This record gives sequence, C-alpha cells and structure tokens, in this order.
Amino acid sequence: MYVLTSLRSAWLTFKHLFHRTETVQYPEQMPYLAPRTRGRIVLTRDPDGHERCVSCYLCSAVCPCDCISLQRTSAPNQWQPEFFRINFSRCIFCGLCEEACPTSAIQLIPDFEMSEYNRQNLVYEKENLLIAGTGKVPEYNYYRVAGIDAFGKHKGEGPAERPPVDPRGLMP
Amino acid sequence: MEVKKAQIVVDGVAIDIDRSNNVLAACLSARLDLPFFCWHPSLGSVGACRQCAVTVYKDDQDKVGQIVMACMTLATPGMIISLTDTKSHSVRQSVIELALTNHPHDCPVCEVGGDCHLQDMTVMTGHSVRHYDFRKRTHLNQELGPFIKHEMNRCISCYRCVRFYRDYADGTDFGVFGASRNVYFGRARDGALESEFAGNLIEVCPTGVFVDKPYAQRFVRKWDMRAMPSVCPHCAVGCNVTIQEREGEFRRASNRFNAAVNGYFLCDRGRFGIGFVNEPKLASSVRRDGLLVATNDAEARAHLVAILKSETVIGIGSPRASLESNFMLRTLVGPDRFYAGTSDHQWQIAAMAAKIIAEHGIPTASIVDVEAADCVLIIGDDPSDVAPRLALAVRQVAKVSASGTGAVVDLPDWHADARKTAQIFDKPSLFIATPLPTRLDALGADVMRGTAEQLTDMCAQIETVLISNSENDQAAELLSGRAASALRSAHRPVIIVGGNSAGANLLGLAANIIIALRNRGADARIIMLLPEVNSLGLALLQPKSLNELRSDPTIGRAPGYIVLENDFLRYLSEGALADIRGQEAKIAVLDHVETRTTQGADVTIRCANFIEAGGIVVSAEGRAQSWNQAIFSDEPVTPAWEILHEGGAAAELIASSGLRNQEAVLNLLAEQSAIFGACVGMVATGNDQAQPTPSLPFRYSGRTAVKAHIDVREAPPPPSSHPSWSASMEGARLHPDANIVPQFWAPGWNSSHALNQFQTSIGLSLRAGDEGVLLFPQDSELVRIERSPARTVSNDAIMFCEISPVFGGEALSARSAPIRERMGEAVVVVGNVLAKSFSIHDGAWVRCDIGGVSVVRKVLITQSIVENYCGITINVSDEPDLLLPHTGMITRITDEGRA
Ligand code: SF4
Ligand code: SF4
Ligand code: SF4
Ligand code: SF4
Ligand code: FES
Repeated sequence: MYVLTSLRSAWLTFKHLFHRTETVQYPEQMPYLAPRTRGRIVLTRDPDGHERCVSCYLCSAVCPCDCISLQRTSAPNQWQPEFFRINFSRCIFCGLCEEACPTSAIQLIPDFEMSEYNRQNLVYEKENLLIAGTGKVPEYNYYRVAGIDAFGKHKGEGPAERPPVDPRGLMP
Repeated sequence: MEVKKAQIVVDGVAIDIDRSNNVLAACLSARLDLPFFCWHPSLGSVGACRQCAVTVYKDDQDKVGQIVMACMTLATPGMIISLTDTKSHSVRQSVIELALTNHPHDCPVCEVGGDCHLQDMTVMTGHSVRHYDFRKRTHLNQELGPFIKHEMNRCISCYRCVRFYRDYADGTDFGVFGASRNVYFGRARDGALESEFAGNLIEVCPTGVFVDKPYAQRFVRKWDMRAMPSVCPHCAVGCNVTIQEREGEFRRASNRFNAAVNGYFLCDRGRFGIGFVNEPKLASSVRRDGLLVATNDAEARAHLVAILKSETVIGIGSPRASLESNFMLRTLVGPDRFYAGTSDHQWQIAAMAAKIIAEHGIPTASIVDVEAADCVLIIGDDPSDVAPRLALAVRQVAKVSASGTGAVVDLPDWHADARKTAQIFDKPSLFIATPLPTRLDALGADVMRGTAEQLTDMCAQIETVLISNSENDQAAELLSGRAASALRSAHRPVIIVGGNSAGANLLGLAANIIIALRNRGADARIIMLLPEVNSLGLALLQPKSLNELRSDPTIGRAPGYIVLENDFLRYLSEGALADIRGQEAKIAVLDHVETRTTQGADVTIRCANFIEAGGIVVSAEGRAQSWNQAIFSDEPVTPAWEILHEGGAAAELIASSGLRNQEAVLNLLAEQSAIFGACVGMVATGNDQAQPTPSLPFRYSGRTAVKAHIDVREAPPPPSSHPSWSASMEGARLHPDANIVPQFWAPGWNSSHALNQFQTSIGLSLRAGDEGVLLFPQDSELVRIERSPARTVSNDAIMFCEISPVFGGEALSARSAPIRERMGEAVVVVGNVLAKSFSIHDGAWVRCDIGGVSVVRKVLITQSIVENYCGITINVSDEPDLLLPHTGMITRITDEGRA
C-alpha cells in the first residue's frame, strides 16, 4: 500500500519534467489573488469606526513565531492596545492569529509586497497596521455583544441584553 | 492529626481517601477531573451550585445508581461511584449550561480569561452549545475602591464571595441582595471594601466578577507573565506569594499556597503593598555638604570603599533586609559595631523574641496551629494590624471551637453550613488582654483592658495558677482566672503576645505560661508579634541597640556609618543627629527606596529589592524562607550583600574570592551560628535536578516582537541568578511531582485551582514540600525566663501606645499607590473618660506632645480602653519615630491651629 502511493507520488513528480514552463511577467502582470489569500496583516475597525482590537492577547498567544506583541492601555475599562507590534521578519503568514481573533480585528489580506532592504523596517507598529475600514468582515461589532460598558454601549443596551436588574426589587 | 486511610472505587479504580473528607475532595486529591464551583478547600461545602454531581452505586449489582453532590457526600470506605457515566455527565453539562445562560460574551475583555475556573469547568464538562435563546440579565457594577474592580454581569451565583467575606473574614459591608435569578453580590452602596482581606475575593470568585484593579491597569494574560515564588515583605508572618512580571515590570502578586503558613489567603497589605516595587526607586548618589556631586553607581561605590577603609565604621542593620545582607554588614564592621536599625523598644522586643525561641526553646505556632487551637490567648497587642493574616486565623478559632467543645460533636469540618449553625451553641475559647481596643473583641471573646503592669501581673497569675494546679475561686471573676482554667483544659492552646504597648517583658511572661502548660502535657505554642519581615532574622544576628550607640562615647567619634535598607535617622532625636553631623561622620545608605535617611546621607547606593535578587528572611515563627529573583531586567540590580562584599574586598577587609554567592555567605553564617545551618540547604547550588525549572510559562508570547522596535535582532535571554531556575522558557517542564514549582498549572486547570493537582491531598502540603525550614527544633528543653523589673509610670501621665495600621503601618506598603489611597486618617484613640476631662469630642483635632515630638491627630473616642492610655497611629513616611510607648500630653487645637 505504502509502496504504491510512494510510487504514485514519484510518478506525478516525474511527470512535471515534461510540463510547459509558465512565466508570469510580474509585476507588470499581476496574478489573481483570492480574498482569502494570506498576505500582509492589518488591524481593522468595527462598523462604528472604533478600533476592533480589544487586546485580548489571543493572537499573540497563538502565533507560532511569537512575533506579535502588544500591551493593553492602562485606562480603566478600556480594552484597546497601547501598542501593537508585529515583527514581519518572523511572520510565516500562517493565519492562525486571524483565526484566534474573537473580534475579527486582525486579518490577513492578499497584499504580499512587503520586501524591505533593511530588516528593521519589517517591524510594524499599530499605526502601520491599522486600516480605516472593516476589512473582510463588514458587520461584526464585538462591543455590541459583549457585556461590559464600552464605547457608549451601557449595561443592558446591547441587542441581547435586558435592562440592568434592580437588586433591591422583590419581584422574582 | 490522624489520617485514616481507606479506599473508594471511582469508575473501577480504587483511590485512597482521608475518611473525614468528602467525595469531591477525595476525587480531586486523586487528581481526577471533577468540576465544582461552590466548594472551596478552606470554605468547605454548601452544595449550592450542583456542579459536582456524581453517581453513587449501592453495590456491584446496582447498575442504576443515584446522583449525589460529591461535595456534600462523606467518602466512606468501599463506596462505588462513577464520574464518567452518561447520567452524571449530562447533569453536570446541563448545570453549567444553566449557569451560563446569562453569562456575558466577555472572555476576550475579561481579566481572568485564561486564568478562569468557569472556563476550565466549561471545557471539563464538554458544554459547548447554548440552547437558551433569550436576552441576558445584566447588572450595574459598583465602585469598590482602589483594590478591586467589579464586573457583576459575570456572576454565576455560587455564593463563594459572601461565604468568604462574611463567614470567613467576618466582613460586614458586603453581602448578597435581591431574589431568585436577580441576586446581586456587592455593597449597600459604592465604596471601598472595608475588610483588609477583600483582595482574596479575586481568587475566591471562580469568575471575573472581582478583578485585581492595579493589575488590570497593567494587564497581560497569565500565560504572558513570568512567575516566581516569593515571600511577602510586609510583615513577620511571612506569607508565600507568587510574583508575576513581564519584561522587567512587576504585574501582580497572588497567594501562593503554603500549608503551614498562609494556606489559601493573603491580606491586602501584602497583595497590594508589593506594588511599591513599581514606584520610583532610589538613585545612587554622592553628596558633599548637602550638595549633589555625583549620581553614578561606580562613584558611590568608591565612596563606600573609602568609608569602609576608615578606622571605626558603624553598621546599622535592617529588619527588612535579607539575612545575607545583614550578616555581610556585620562581618564587615564586626559584631561590636553592628546595630539594629529599629527603635530601642522594638529592639528589646525582637531581642526578647529571639531569646525565647533560640535559647529558651519555646515552640512557636504556625497559622495552621492557630486555626487548630482549642484556646487562644491574645496579650498586649492586636494582631489585626501587625500580623493581619494571623488575625484571620484567629477569626477561625472562634468558629472551629464549635465542634471541639460544643454541643455538636462529630461534624465534618468541611460541612460549612452545619458548622455555622453549630457556632450558635458555642462561645469561642478566645481571651484578649490588651490596653487598647482590638478588632477581634467583637468575636465573642472574653476581653480585658489593662495597663502594662496589670497585664504583666495577669500573666504571672496565670502561670502561678497553672503551676500550683489549684482552682482559684476568687480569680474566676478575673480574666486571668477564666483564661487559666480554659488553658488548663486545652490540648492545643496558643498564646499570641505583642510587646508594642506593654513592653518586651510581656513576651517572657507569656513564654513562662507556655512552659507551665507544656509541663502539664499540652501542646502549647507561642506567637510573638514582630513588625517587619526579617525582624527575627536580624535579632538572631544579635545587633546592639541604638541606645548603646548613643551612650557610647568612643563610638560617638566614629567617622563612618553604613546603613542597610533602613530609615535609621527616624530613630534618632534631633540632638543625636546633630552629634553625628557635628563630628563630620559620613553616612552611606544602601537602599532601594527614598527615605529621610537617604535624603540626609552622604552616599546612597541603590541595591536590589526583594524581587530583584534572592535572599533569606526569618518569619516570627522562626521559619527561614527565600525571596527569589523574580524580575529580570536588562540591567540587573545587585543585592546589598554583594555590594558590601565588593566594597569590603576593595577595602581589603575580607578576601575577594571568599563570599561570591549566597551559599558561601550562608555557609560562613552557619559556621558562626549553628542555628542557621538549615539556610544553606535552601540556596544550595548542587541540586539534583537534571535541568533548571523555567520561570517563564510555556505559552509566553511575543518573544520575537516585544523588543523588535529597539532592535529587530533578538537578544539572548537574561542569565539566571540561580542554577535551579532558568530565566527563559527552557528547562524541565512543570510537573506536579517536581520539587520546584514556579506557578501552578496543570492540563485542564488554568486558574489558581490547579493547585489541587500539586497537593499531597486537598488542603495539605505540596508534593514538593512546603516552602521554608523551621530554624529551631520544636522539642528542645524549656528554660523559664526571669522576670525583669517592670517600668514604673506615674499614674496621671497619659500613656501613648502605638497603632501601626494595616495599610502603611510598616516600612514599605505606604509606598504603593493603591495602599496610600486606603490609608485612613491618622488618629489618636482616646477613652471617653479622658476625652471628657480634656473636653474633646469625636473627630476633634488635637496636638500630641510625646517625648519632644509633637504630631497632630484626629480624635477617635472609644469606650474600651484602659484608663489614661491612648492609642496613636504612626506615620512611617513623614514623621520621626515617636519612641512609643511613651508618656505625653494632649492639647486641643482649632482648625486654624492645624494648618
Ligand atoms: S500569520 Fe501566523 S506567524 Fe504571522 S503573526 Fe499571525 S499567527 Fe503569527
Ligand atoms: S469569567 Fe471566565 S468565562 Fe466569564 S467572561 Fe471572564 S474569562 Fe470568560
Ligand atoms: S461574585 Fe463570584 S464568588 Fe460571588 S457568587 Fe458571583 S461568581 Fe460566585
Ligand atoms: S502583610 Fe503579613 S499577613 Fe499580610 S500578606 Fe504579608 S506576610 Fe501575610
Ligand atoms: S461544588 Fe458541590 S454543589 Fe457546588
């Protein structure tokens, strides 16, 4: 069984010797890249225009290269990054950060033209990562569905919330 | 305690049980995964959350079984239970689904995410799909002060918080409101939580309702912080803490279980006081005639060498510096010129305590001994202020005694609600004899207020009664009589004694009672209240008192003073200060915080604080425990002993090669004084581990980006200061059987409850053994202490005694910002009789003139204080030492006079 599949793979590889050579005139001729292509990483905003990243640290935890680093602000009740840094000289564009992100803030986009002469320039800060729009996820607004007071959504104002209870009320 | 072993069968596997425990604890002890919420190893079971359901079978033939709550079921030998059967599994799954119906969608913005018992339990039950399709209940939050942030939406109504706050810590300003599904856990109105144990709510609550506020402001996830075991530096109880940091910045301190010391709880002075390490630190400097001439470390150290070279050098040791640093200073200046940097009164108390433990062989009590005591006598001072965690243990005595002596016998100690009911029938065997009111008075204790003389007489009487074995009928009306008869019938009595208000003499008299009790066969133990983390360690090095320094004419001409981590000028009067200044002595201070002394010193040298370098401290119990380097910054800070060693070598006082590391220093110390022998083993470098234990968690993130803005090339990890630890992620992975555990984590257990997996049995020692070693054998020969003549105080003078408040009462906690916010107003506590004679009312402002120092205080009137005594809060940061206890005068002042 294993012998057969190995032989089949060897045969398929061997066949490539006789394929026609394809040359694409990049950059004059740009290849088609599907929207899900994993290229440059951006930080997006929610439909209300607020930064989506809540600095939950999940992307940095999941990153196999440990190339994301951030710090939440010290302002009480604010969940936004004080700094957010990606070292692209380490990133392998695996997309795990995008999958881990609970707010759809971090997204990989089809742009891959990021080469630099100086490696230091591959370190991107929040200013370099943040875009003006919602990216690939137009609707999602995490703050609307979370339970905390944030960006003008007070307790009980979310679409799936009842108004705050009165602890002194005696009704069941 | 007798542990009767037997076995129960869980899913076909036999596990050992401690017969007095419940099924839940038995399963967790066997490291089985059984979810729970309302049960807590220290708070016991109430069976409220229904999460710990298991199936119990009658016998082998029984295939149906019945569902019971594991936490409410006594584990009996031969019991057959199942955790994996579908029935109990589906019960547990639906219970957690119910608990989550109103739970907010908060994990990403929740400070306990990744450190959350609710998350762990949800994963453990396998619940993943929510069937509840209606809108969620919401709650408004309260402002609970500088320590704790409230996020009430996350509550699952397990009731642990109220059980801790009200039933365990006896707090009154927090409770549960509302009815049915709307229950609300909070205060009647916004405001700081008053209990000094409120910080434990952070760890007691299984969800993110109570959040460590200072930590939330410099938030990172648990997996992103280095963790190292350490010892709280804020009092002589020596509670174990876990220090967490990221990238050289301290983030939070949390409880670290030690079965013999703090168990599951800390006090807020410890938890939030440690934040002082993030405040501005002392800079090395050199001053000439008061003018700054240099601010670099090398120059300051060169000046230290110059001072060390001069003929006579006085060393001032410190009760808040490590044993190594104090010993190195003593080695350099010589034992004859080594003085304690404390007031004379404190020196006497510490010296007496050291004598009682080291020379008279009196066994000391740990916190566990206090909790298990059947009679507690508190003499002299209130432990609530000086040793908060100890006071929490005393509060349990008042409850535990219910089972020992009361109407209800045979009540398992985990059965929380039944025990609470049983308390009604019982009066705790708790006696308090102090001049000032204590916060433990309200526990239903037998209370006496007495002057220093009355207290010493009382102690002597108790001893006499115990020795003479006579039932003294007249004494029955006195506390001494009642206490003596209670002590006589007790098996494990503990005496807690402090000399702050009534003098060091009291310690000796209490020790004599212990001897009398032990001679009667009881396991009597003593706890002596000492103010600072290493007060006992310093006293064991036998420093001289500052009083001797003042009165010694030859030393008066000493050209150099080396002050170790100490605000020593606080203890000198203006006159003594002028004397030192007058003779142009040079003062060099090694410290990490700015004090009045560093401001007046000629040379200041920045040395490491307790998380920047290792060191050993000795708690009041006589337990040596280590501080470990917990923070690794790019510029490592040298501990004081190393700076002194370097200076001493440069001044050719000691060989430069001899005392290179902690082990060598402690070896020399052990050579000179055998009692310290056990300390060497604590830092011994030749460990049997094949690999060091990593201090970084295995999911420490961002390593290739965190410093990339400075240089995209990654720097190597910092070197470790100790071969048992690695400063990076490399090394042998954390394992429940490892002998070094930086922090508790086990698969499926991400919150602090992972501790279960590391204990020999629930609530008992770690598999790795408890931290620290007792320096004194607890079975040596007992020698009675001779009573020294008591001080005589004229009767009509007002006697001022010290109150060192929980927040800011010792040297360092007042430097932490949240603690500063909680420090109350400085007060003088005056009895109503005295107040009337001075016609002052509650809240009035007065000037207190005490031995040449006058301070302004607000009056607090109390009914319960001995005549002509006043309690006065001290202010360690801004005022000179008041040399308490001391007589003085009170004068009323107006508001203008105050300004
Ligand atoms: S794409 Fe992968 S390697 Fe790159 S930052 Fe995201 S998780 Fe890290
Ligand atoms: S308490 Fe736990 S489960 Fe609830 S939001 Fe916070 S992290 Fe998530
Ligand atoms: S606040 Fe926390 S501890 Fe208190 S009932 Fe709610 S979940 Fe339990
Ligand atoms: S201050 Fe004392 S009682 Fe409080 S945590 Fe620290 S060592 Fe324990
Ligand atoms: S833990 Fe057993 S019912 Fe809550």
